[in-house]
This record gives sequence, structure tokens and C-alpha cells, in this order.
Amino acid sequence: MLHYAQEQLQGDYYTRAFQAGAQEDTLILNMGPQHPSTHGVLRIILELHGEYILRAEPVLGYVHRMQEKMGEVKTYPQYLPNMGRVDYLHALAWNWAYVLAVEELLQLEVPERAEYIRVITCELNRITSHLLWWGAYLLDLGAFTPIMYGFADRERAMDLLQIITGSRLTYCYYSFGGVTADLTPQFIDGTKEFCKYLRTRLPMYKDLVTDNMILRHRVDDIGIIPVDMARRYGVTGPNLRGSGVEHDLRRNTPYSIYDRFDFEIPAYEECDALARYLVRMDEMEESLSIIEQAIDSLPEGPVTPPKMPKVIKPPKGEAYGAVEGARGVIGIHVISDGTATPYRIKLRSPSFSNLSLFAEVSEGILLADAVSILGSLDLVIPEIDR
Amino acid sequence: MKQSWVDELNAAGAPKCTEVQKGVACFCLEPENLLPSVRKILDLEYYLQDVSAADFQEGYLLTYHFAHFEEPGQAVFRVLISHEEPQIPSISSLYQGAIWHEQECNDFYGIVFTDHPDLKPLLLVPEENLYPLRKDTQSQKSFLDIFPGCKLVEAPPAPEGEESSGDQETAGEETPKKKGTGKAKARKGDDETAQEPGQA
Repeated sequence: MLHYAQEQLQGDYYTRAFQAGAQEDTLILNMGPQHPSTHGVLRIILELHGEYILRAEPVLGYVHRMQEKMGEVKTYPQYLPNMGRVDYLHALAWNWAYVLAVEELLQLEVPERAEYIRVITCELNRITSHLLWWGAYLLDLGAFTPIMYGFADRERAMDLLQIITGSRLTYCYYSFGGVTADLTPQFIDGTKEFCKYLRTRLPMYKDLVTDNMILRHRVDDIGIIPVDMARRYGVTGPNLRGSGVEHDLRRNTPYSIYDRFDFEIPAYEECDALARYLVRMDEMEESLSIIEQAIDSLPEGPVTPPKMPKVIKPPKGEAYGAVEGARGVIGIHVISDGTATPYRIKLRSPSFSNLSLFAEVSEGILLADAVSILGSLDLVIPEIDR
Repeated sequence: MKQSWVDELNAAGAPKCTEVQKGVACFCLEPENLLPSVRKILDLEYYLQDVSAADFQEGYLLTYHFAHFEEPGQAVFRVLISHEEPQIPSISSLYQGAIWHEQECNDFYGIVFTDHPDLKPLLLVPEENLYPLRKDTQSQKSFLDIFPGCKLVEAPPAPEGEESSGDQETAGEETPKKKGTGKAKARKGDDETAQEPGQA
């Protein structure tokens, strides 16, 4: 027979702290860290009264890797592969935020063709991220088929990205001042074909899932995030656009060459899970349109700057690289002291801010709706824990 | 950031904006001016991007990044607090999103945010105080050296002001060595990443 110390029976540090504030006749429930709907290792402690949530507290840090410390001991190029591992679903956006910050420090010009390649690959990566979210969210809500469709389509885009980046998930493709490899004809033809193909699939997704009554009942009017709450918590990305704010860095503070393309910023006023769902579905179409425009106007030329310093040693100062990722504003704040190693790197991850409102938004709702809300926030746990 | 907003912030206790470039407005604050300034920026409908800290010779530098949903650009608040008494008022009563950011700064640096609702460890093990991002005096750099535009901030009277500048020189001598070893590694890493996609 196993013997536990009294302390172990009372749970860990977080459970004990949470239990201390519990009311009478309530149930304390640990959801996760191995719960299927938490997609990774997120743990949420809940205080339940029947089926209703009185209090919720996310517990983080299960996949914490101290990425910011790694940034202070590695040289600038050595830190590039880390960026693919912060958010494994939209890795290229993290690549981009980092190279953007370092390029600003170095005052480096990026060749035009490289900018186009970055736009094409980043948008393709955004589609793969949204497709996976779509499948996984519906899986959380009890629909098994969509994830099969989502994965099959995502696979095609990942095969394309593999041709040029050499990897399938944790890309390390952008380099300071450009990209590491040029596009191949195979990639360009494949991408054109993929855009056409996905345009036939998206209406089918709509017929199959979006208009489905069962889905509507699970997401309609669930998890209301008013604009004011979004502001106080720093919510960005599709979650914010689901609250009716057309805030997108690609339009607000156009970095790179996004001001050259014609695309919409989808936004819905309803502030609920359905609005966030619809924003992402529309965004995939906009990304397709950006990719098609970029491929049509792709200029010839080099993909790396003509002259690169042998050692990356930015002058003293700071830079903030901010890009629009699939989950919101990704910001990387780099402070340079003039050596080959960054003095400080701060990673601003969108999921971190998006999840922080969960405690407030889940007060008084049904436990089953909490699963729906968590899914609608599109969380990537390694990005939260960093 | 609009000039009228900068003036409003100045009136709220945020001293003159030290640099406005590419729409980024930076304010260097005293700790007691932080809350009134943050209240003002909340009135101006800015949202909180992040709160971060960094360890310098002069003390811990706290950086608050704010951005606007409609306007481009950023507003940056910088506050310097001493190593001896790392305390600053929490802004979580105004921006609830700061709760986690401040807990994270407490995890990494041991900075105490007064009036924080629950300043417990967030990402690191709760049983130990590791403070992994604190730097030793050898590797600390001068804040004013890296941010020459931020002269408005009065550095707390450092008792060993003379010595610290001496440390900086020795630290400066050491870093080239590090650079030398780092260089070789960096090139190697560069080549590997450049070759991989080609080979595949």
C-alpha cells in the first residue's frame, strides 16, 4: 500500500493556494495538465458549483524552457532556431518578428524578392495554423470528422513549405536580411494549385460545419469578450477581431510589403466564440488572396543582401519587432549592448495575453462552455510558457 | 502617437517624450508617476502589450509597451528602480492583463509589485527563488550607455559610481573574448542552417 505524506494529499502548491479561498459545498477540479481540450500541458483549476464555474485559475509553466535566458547566452544567429520552437503552429511569424527586430538594429535592407517570399510563406503558414485550429476546435466540441479534413489539407501546405524550408513544423527559414533559400518552380506551381484547391474546400467546410446547428449552439453567445475587456488584457489577433475591432498589424502598422496587397480585415461584432470562429475562416481566404497576389507580382533578384557582416554585432540600442501572427501580435524586444550576444530579449506572446482573461470570462458559465471558450481562443501552450 | 496625447501624458506626470521615431513615443517615469500615467493612457484607449524588466548597473529597468487599436505606433513607459529596493506599484488594478506579466517579472528578477492581487510564481517552480535573468555585476551594462536618449531619468545615487565605471571597462575587455568564441560558433550555425534546406 502506498503511503502519502499529509502534504501530498492536499495537492501541490497551486491547489493548496486555490483551495484556501473555496466556498462551502463546492468541488475543486483539476482540468489538465493532460486534458485533451487543453492541447498540450495547460492546467486549469476550477471551483465548481454543480455544473457551473465559480472560479478558474490557469496554472502555467509545464513546458517552460526559459527562452529569454537562452537569448542572452546565444549569439544572434544561434537564437534563430529557437524562434521556430516557441509557437510550433505559426513558426514563421516568430522567425519574422525576430529578424525584423535585428534588421532594425543593424539597419539592414531586405531585397524585394525576399520580402515577397516572406509574405508568401508566412501566409501559407497562417493557413496551416488556422486549419489545425479548425480541426482541433471541432474535435473539442465533439465533431470528429473535421480534423481529418483539416489535417489532409494542411498536409498539402506543409509539403509545399517543406520543399523550401526543409522542415515541416519548426521552421528556421528567415535569416537576417532575407531568407535562407530561394523559391523553386515546384513550390510556385504547387502553391498556385493549392490556392485553387483550398478555395473549393472552404465552401465545403462551410456547408459541412459552419452552418451546422449543433456547432452553432455550442459557440453562439458563448464567451463574450467586450472590447473594453480585450483592451485591459491586451487581447489581439482573431480574438480581438471577433470583438469587432479591425486591428491588424498588417494594416495598422504595415511592416514589410503588406501595404502593396489588397486584402480585407475580417471582423465580427458579436464578441462571442462564433465570431472568433468566423474571423479565422474568413482570414484563410484573405491569406489565399495575398499569396496569389504575391506570386503574381513576384520580382526577380537576390534573396539575401549583397553584403552581410561576418559577425552579427548590432550597435547599442533597442528594437521592437512586431508582426501579426495567427494568434495576434507577436512582439520581440531586443536590447543590444554592442556585442555579438543580445543583452536582453523579451518575447511578447499573443496566447499569453489571450489566456490571461480566462479567469474573468469563465466566471459563472457551464463547464462544457469553458471547453468551447478555451478552443475559441486558439491557444498554443509552448508559446504561453516560452 | 498624436502630439496632443503626448501633451496630456506630460501633464499626467510622464515627463517629456524623449524620442518619437516611427510612431514610437517613449516616456521615462519616476515610480510614483507610473500609476497616474498608466491611468491616462488607459483613458486614451491604449491596450497593454507587455511588461518586461531588464537588469542594468543602475538598477532594474521596467518597460511597459502600449499600443492602440486604431492608431499606429507604440507608447513605451520606462521606469528604473534600484537593486536594493526592487519595488514598484502594480498596474494590475487598471490593466488586469499585467497580473501575469508582473508575476513573470517577479519570477525572473524578484521585483516586488506592491498591491498585486496574487504575486506567486507563474512559470518557475514555486518552491525556489531562482531569479534566472539577474545579471552579476561583471556582466551588467550601463543603462544610460545603451539608451543615451533617456537622460531624463535620474539614476539613483550609486555608492560605487567610480567603481562601476571601472567594472564596465573590465567587462568590456572580457566581452571581445566571448565574441571571439561566439564568432566561430555563429558562423558554423549560420552555415548549417543555410545548407539544410539545400540538402533537403
